[in-house]
Amino acid sequence: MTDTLFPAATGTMGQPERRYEAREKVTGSAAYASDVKLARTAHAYLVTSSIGRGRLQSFDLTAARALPGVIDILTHETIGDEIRQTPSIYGGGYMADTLRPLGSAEIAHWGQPVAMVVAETYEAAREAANLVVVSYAAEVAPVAGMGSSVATGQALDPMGFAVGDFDTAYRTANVTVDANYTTPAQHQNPMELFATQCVWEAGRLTVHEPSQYVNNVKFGLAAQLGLDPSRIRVISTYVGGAFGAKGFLTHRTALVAVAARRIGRPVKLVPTRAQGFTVSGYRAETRHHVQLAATQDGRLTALRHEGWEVTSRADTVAMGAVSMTARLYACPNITARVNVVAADRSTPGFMRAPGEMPYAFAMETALDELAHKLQMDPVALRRVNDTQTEPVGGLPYTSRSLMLCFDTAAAAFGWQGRPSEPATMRDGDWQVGWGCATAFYPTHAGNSAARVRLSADGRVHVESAGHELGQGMYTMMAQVAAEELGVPIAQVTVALGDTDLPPAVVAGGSSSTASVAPAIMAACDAIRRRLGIATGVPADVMPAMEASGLGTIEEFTEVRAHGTAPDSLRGLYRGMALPAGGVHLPDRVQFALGAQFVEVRVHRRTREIRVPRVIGAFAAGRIINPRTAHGQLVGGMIWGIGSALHEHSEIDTRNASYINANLADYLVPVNADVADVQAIMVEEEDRLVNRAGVKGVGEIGVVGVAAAISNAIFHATGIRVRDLPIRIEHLM
Amino acid sequence: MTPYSRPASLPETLFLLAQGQPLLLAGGTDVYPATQAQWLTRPVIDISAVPELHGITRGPDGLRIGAGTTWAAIAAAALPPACNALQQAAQEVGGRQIQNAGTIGGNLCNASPAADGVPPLLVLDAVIELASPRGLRRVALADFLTGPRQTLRAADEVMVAVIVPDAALSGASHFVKLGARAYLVISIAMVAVRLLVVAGRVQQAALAVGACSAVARRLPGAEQALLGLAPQETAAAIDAAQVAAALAPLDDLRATAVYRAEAAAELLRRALATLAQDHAG
Repeated sequence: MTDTLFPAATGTMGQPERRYEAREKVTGSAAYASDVKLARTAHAYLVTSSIGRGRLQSFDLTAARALPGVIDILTHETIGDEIRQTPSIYGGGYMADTLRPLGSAEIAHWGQPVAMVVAETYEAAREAANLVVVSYAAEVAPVAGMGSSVATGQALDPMGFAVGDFDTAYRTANVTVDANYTTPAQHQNPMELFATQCVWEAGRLTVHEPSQYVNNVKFGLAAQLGLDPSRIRVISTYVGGAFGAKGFLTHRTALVAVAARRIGRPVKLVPTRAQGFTVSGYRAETRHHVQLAATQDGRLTALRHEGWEVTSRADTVAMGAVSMTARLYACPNITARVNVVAADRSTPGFMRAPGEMPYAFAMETALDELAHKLQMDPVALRRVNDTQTEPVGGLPYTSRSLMLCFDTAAAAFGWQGRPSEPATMRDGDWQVGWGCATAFYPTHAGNSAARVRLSADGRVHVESAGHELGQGMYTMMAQVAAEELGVPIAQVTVALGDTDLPPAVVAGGSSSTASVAPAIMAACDAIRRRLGIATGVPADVMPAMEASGLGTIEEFTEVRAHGTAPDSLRGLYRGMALPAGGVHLPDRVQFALGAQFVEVRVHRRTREIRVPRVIGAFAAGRIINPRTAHGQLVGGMIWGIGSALHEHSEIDTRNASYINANLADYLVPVNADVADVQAIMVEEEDRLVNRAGVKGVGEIGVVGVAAAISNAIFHATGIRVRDLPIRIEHLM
Repeated sequence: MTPYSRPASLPETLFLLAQGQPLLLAGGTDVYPATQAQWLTRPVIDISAVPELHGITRGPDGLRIGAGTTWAAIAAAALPPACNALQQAAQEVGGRQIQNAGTIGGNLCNASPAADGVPPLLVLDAVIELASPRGLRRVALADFLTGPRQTLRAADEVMVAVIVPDAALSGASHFVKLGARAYLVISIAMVAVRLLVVAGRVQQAALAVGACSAVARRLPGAEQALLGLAPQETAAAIDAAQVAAALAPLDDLRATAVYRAEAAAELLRRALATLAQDHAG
């Protein structure tokens, strides 16, 4: 059957194989965490803080306890010391933040869980939760965010760096740009809510929870509950979208585990969409100051990028992607700095392209401002400053196809002949503009293990505690094993997302395929060696398997990723396999790169903004499955449209609460906002990054789109917008 | 537990209504989001099974749309071109699931300033029929809506039908809505226009603007200015200052008053230009 989307695909890896679990997903038989049916399940409902900062004075639980069906109510007064204080991931632990669940009377942020009701039904738990009367004391006005001043920011010195002499170069330059940019708080809002089910059987705990890192949940929970980790199993067979929000252990899991132990029954918690805004991390608001200087011919002579990010009082979290924006272009004089501004908010976390999205918006918009001042084509400006060596440490890129991406996307877009002057293209009442920007994402990989079993009947079974987040992990891992063993993909089964399987890296940092595929390849190598078949060349293992007389060959392998410490493999077995690579290697830098091109239309009178076309070209090493990669890239680009025009978690400064904590008011693009979005995959071979040659495409698609849209809006209207999201009123 | 009843007839509904201060539940698309985190404080009368409230019929007094008719049913009905705006609005109230549940009567009784159903019904000179133990009464829609979330409906009344008089079923209409994204969005502004064109000249014009004042409004001055024009001339005849003066737009989270007035004028021009195209074609 010809594939309309990918007619030219060849090879086993590289085929647009249809999704491994497609039938289960479209028929509804795929059981997500909240779908798992456990006998005698009790239902939990969270009560969360309605104030932004202060202390709990007292609870009146009388009415809630009297409600029929209510079994138990957990508060900091009733829970005792069942949950231990354990460090966050930033302090060498497992937690997404350092607050102890129901740990004290202190209120650190709006939406903080203060009680959890357990009842026979969801409805009874919810009604009782609404009957819990919470009295607060010592309520003070919270610091809601960055505010208008960044003077209170605290510099994070280890994230700053400098080369050359920025001040002199900037002062003496021909052409300079000096501008400030902001991006808002955003929430991932995965379709699947933050569900958790816990069941105890004979002192063993099983957790069903959508997770990007099941072993983080397992080992973190063991530390919180003082349990032997071998008594905990975490299962996450399918995840209905994560985008960073399901990366690390949150408060809720231990609460559900404790509740289930207290009542001797399984307990199920599905926090509401609104509660999800503070149950897990989010993208904090950022502010940027960028200064650029260049010669008349466009060569950068000085670059300065300083960022400010909101964090919680409890945790210092910063994405600090100046480490990337300062390394993209050749420039002899660079200064970079990162600051955090502590607010009375829940701890931010990782949201798809966590630092890359906001920092790219600032840098790639600033470059467009420079191109305009130089009266230079924005693509030509990138070409003049293209480099195969990053300018901070002088390290080589393992591969860099940035200009190939620009040229490919520009040709597909029809960029040639674009008038350089803004506000010159019209179509009736619509002002038309074209903009572009660089997309980048660091190439990561982490330690991972896999087990592969070959049976005499030709079946292959692959096991790894990697994660299917919707990105196509089952499908791609089946493709890898099929190619390595020379068997049809239909004979390969894959198990993922279970701590009973060989451990793997967190599914974050676009690292899953780049990390788990090499482990599967190594296990397949081991099988081939057992059969006396040379590795590294295509082969069908079945004749040798027949001849061997064996029933089954099973091999377990662990693979250490480049850039990880020699003893880090031990961490793999403690839930501490984190991605390495990107700009944190001693010998090289690794990036997937791309170019985003956008057409916008702005109505002359109403100033409505439409995005009729987005074309991106991406070079991300080997693409194992162009169908799933295409989904990742196009999905990312649509996120980019949302980040440019819609997404914004609006904060009520009185109690630092989210005003639009629902999918009606938290706007994301709907189909009618997304017209023509094309992702072109540029061929690139990189044998250095990892054995699979994979750079990862999970996040790069979102990077640069907001800048390209802002640049296109400038081209359409002559109005430069430096604050996201860009709204009608910015263009009045 | 909140008392809940689902009457099967209009008399039963009126009897239950007279018992207290119940909450009338039709499609539930406004009630549910407003109450999901709490419990209902009043007894609920679910009127979704009352047959007298359903159906679209053409009678001697015009087009009668049962108050319990869903947006999906309105969009799918065979209606004259004068109702195009109403049918277009029916496809922009929330998403398809909302349209399958939400009712025209609920939209009007909820009385949001941004109710998508109101401007198309204003250009149709719609009349509301209300039933109570005292009998039936009819009120013009323009009078029925008295303010944001305020109507003339008495506590013991239920809206039975929306009636479009025959005289208003002539010509063709068009609806345009503007929001922060292209669909599934609360309006910043929306307009409905209806023109009756005879011998190439506008004989009747009805213009209505929603979300730009406490209650959606007709624009009699602007309508007057269109009479006698060729359809192709109408868009240019919209005077932004006149439109602004006729409205009293609000500043809110979604837009400023100044912008709303400007946008309303532009939406009127677009709607008129679209109607003119139909005449040209």
